Amino acid sequence: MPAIQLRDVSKRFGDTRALESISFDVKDGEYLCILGSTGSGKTTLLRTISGIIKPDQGEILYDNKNMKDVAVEDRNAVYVPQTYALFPHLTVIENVCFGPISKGVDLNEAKNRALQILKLVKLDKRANSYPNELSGGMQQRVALARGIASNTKLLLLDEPLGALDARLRLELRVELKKIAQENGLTVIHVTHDQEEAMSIGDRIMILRKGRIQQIGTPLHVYLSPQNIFVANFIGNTNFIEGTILKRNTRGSSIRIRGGYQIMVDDTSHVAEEPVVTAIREEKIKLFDHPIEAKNTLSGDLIGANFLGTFIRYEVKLDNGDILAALHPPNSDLTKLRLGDRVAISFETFHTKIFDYPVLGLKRELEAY
Amino acid sequence: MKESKSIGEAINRLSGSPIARKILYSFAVFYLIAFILLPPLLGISFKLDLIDQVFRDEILLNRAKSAIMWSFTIAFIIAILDLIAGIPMAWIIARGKSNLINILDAFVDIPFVIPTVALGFSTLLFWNSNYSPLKFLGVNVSPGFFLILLLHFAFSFPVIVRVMVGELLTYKDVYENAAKSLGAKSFTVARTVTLPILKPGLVAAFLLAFARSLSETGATMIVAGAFENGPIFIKNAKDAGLEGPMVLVSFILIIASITVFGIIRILGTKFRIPIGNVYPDFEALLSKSISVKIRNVLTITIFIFLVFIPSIFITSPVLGAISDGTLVKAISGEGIWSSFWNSMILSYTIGIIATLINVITGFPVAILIARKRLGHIGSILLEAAVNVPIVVPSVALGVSLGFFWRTFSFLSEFWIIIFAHTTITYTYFVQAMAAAIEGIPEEMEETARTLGSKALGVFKNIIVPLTKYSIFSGAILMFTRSVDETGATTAVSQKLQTAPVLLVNWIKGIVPATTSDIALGISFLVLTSFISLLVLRLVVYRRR
Ligand SMILES: Nc1ncnc2c1ncn2[C@@H]1O[C@H](COP(=O)(O)OP(=O)(O)O)[C@@H](O)[C@H]1O
Ligand SMILES: [Mg+2]
Repeated sequence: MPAIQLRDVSKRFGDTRALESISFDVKDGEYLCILGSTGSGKTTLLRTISGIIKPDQGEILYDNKNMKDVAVEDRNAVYVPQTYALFPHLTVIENVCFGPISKGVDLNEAKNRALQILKLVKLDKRANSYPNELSGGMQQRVALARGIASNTKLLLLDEPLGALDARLRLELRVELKKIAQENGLTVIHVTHDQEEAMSIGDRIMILRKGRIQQIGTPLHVYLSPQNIFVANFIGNTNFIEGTILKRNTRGSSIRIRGGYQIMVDDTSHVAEEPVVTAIREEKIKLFDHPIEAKNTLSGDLIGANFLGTFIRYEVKLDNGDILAALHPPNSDLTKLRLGDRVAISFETFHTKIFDYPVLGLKRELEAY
Repeated sequence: MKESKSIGEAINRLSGSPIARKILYSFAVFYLIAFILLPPLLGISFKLDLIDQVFRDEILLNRAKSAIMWSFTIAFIIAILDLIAGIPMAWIIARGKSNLINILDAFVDIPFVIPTVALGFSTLLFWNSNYSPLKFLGVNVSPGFFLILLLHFAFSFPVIVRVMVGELLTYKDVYENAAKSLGAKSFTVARTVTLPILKPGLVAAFLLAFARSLSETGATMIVAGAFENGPIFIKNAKDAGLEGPMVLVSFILIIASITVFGIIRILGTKFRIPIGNVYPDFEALLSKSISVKIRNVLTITIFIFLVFIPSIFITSPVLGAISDGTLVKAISGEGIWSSFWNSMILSYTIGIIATLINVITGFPVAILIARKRLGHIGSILLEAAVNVPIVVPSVALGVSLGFFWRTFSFLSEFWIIIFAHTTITYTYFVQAMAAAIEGIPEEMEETARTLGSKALGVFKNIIVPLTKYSIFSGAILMFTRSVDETGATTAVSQKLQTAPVLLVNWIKGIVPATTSDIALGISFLVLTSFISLLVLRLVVYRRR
């Protein structure tokens, strides 16, 4: 039921602008992931939506109803903090019952329903344990069960998988989404893990220093990042600084450091404009021998890291720029040694051109 | 400068050694046994054979039984009533945002800084004056059971508030926020989440109030009339030349209350309140901001009329004292006032030294209790020992302390009074601190240790900052208690007079003093305490 709307919401703590003019909509039943680094304002945003914090300015609407004067407990929005806040003096089942009982449901009835929900999260066997007797993953599931049992339609999850180990995180990711769908919940899920956000969110929203950078489906954000920060934050991206040399109807040529030239398919920038060219690491091809093609640059191999499914090669180009290329473990390339001469190349249509940022490229990539 | 730093480092390094820690803890426990536990007990034990006096006399025995029964009944009623009235007050103080809260906070301590005898008189005068709210209804409160209840309610109130404010300020609000977002009204949250989580503090507050009511003599005797609880029975028998009742009743009170304490402690940790039904409409009503306002007004009204005014009523002639020349006399130190200022300085000096000694010696014991370093049984025994001084009726305590300390003829009277005061006040600090330390997750200490922090570092950087308010509350409880203590001080002192002892002599007419003198004297004592506490509080709690 609840569709959430934020209109120009701002919040300051002293000199810190935790949220700045935040506006976005969440559709009923949608799973929205908010992605941002530590300190970007994720927790503040959730606490503001839940009503724990009053915004300095702006409006929050649930189903078109302004929540300004609605108390936390009357919003029917369950906030699950990073630490879960399971009540240490209550058993698992009592924790799960807490919402319904608070709303006047009879204890026995609440317990029956709680038990069903505990089955759903596979914790019915631990109903009478105390929270401190459970593992992190179990505590997480109790927190989730407690939220669902309260009959809420809006879950506000603060880094719900943050405290869990990698494998469990993957499992629960799927489970979380499934439970949300089956129960028709609207979920706002906050995380600093981009892979988690992309894999679970119907849409994702990128937050930086309290400002929204972009909001859209994971694929859309991945393919069309709105700015350099997003391009860098979502996926692994190379950035090359340069100046537009010439442009025609099919693309432009760019002069980069050391006088080299590259071709891109962008046509929106004019000659002499300083720009940044972004290329995904996986779109860069690496060769252990010189090649003749468009957009080919040579350099020395300075790094190779095996990441599990990919090897990430770092190349110091002859002009001093450093680029990275992701390649599946490939028999030819694995023979490469650090210091070997290599060549890289990329397609014009794999590039994306951004205006050169006012404060410089480095500053633009920082989260703070 | 440099030298002191290296000494600090050396101490810090030393604190990492298990032997040094053992020595420190052993010293603290030794101090507890030798200076806190034995003095009240030895004096009584030496007279154990006098118990026979009571057993030979059936009437005396029956009086003893009924007195003890009443003592426990009153203490129980008082501890409960004070919890009910004190928790909302602690809430106002801990959660209030206005700066006026600091003043309210300081006002709460007032019953604690008035010498107990004066407090008794004040209560008696107030409830029979034309200002008494009950008089307004046509009810005269004559000395007896009901007046004792009113008195005990007043002097136990600060204990509850102090301990609970400390607890509430240490408590993190994540649980409250989580509960609210699950749809619980604020009253429901307090009832089912906050208070159950603060159980150690509730238990400590309850026990301190309970014990204080059980043992108080100085004020109670003024309002008791013909009614006898344990301490009054002791006092009456002693006035009639019998010391047997004192020994017997003291022993029974000690043993019975330690049993009660033990039971409450064990139940307190084992017993977990299961969640019950909630009555949403009713509790929602109680959570409404209008209800909260009504509750706050009610809480403050109860405080003002049942605690504050009855306590300071004895100072009401003070306005007269300003116009009739007493103030000039007082300030110039004329006549009976010449010794007053010396007594004030003595009282404060003793209060400060006793407080410091107890903070230093009491902290390790609080840690031992809170962290159960001596095992479960060990902590319970330790706690029982800590509680002895406040459950021994203060008349008996005075006799016992006097008996004990006078045997050390090389000690000057000044130090004897200080040691007596450390005994009397020790419990307040250790109990409040143990509850506060229990509230700090042990994980936090462990983490600090793994980060390379030595024991002293953990203490200085984790425990002290996190329990700041409780340390402060505990110190205030001790300090104010030391400044107002009368009964035991009278018993141990010979030439030196602390301010309360001097004022009691005025009140009782042993030294001829006018009503203006008395009112002004007490006002000075209250005012100086009040101002110093307020300043201290503003310094410690500037940030709020
Ligand atoms: N209660 C508070 N008081 C002061 N500053 C705060 C408070 N809560 C958050 N902040 C500040 O607001 C910014 C955003 O914090 P937060 O919302 O916790 O970020 P995130 O959850 O993304 O890590 C940070 O700079 C943080 O220091
Ligand atoms: Mg956060």
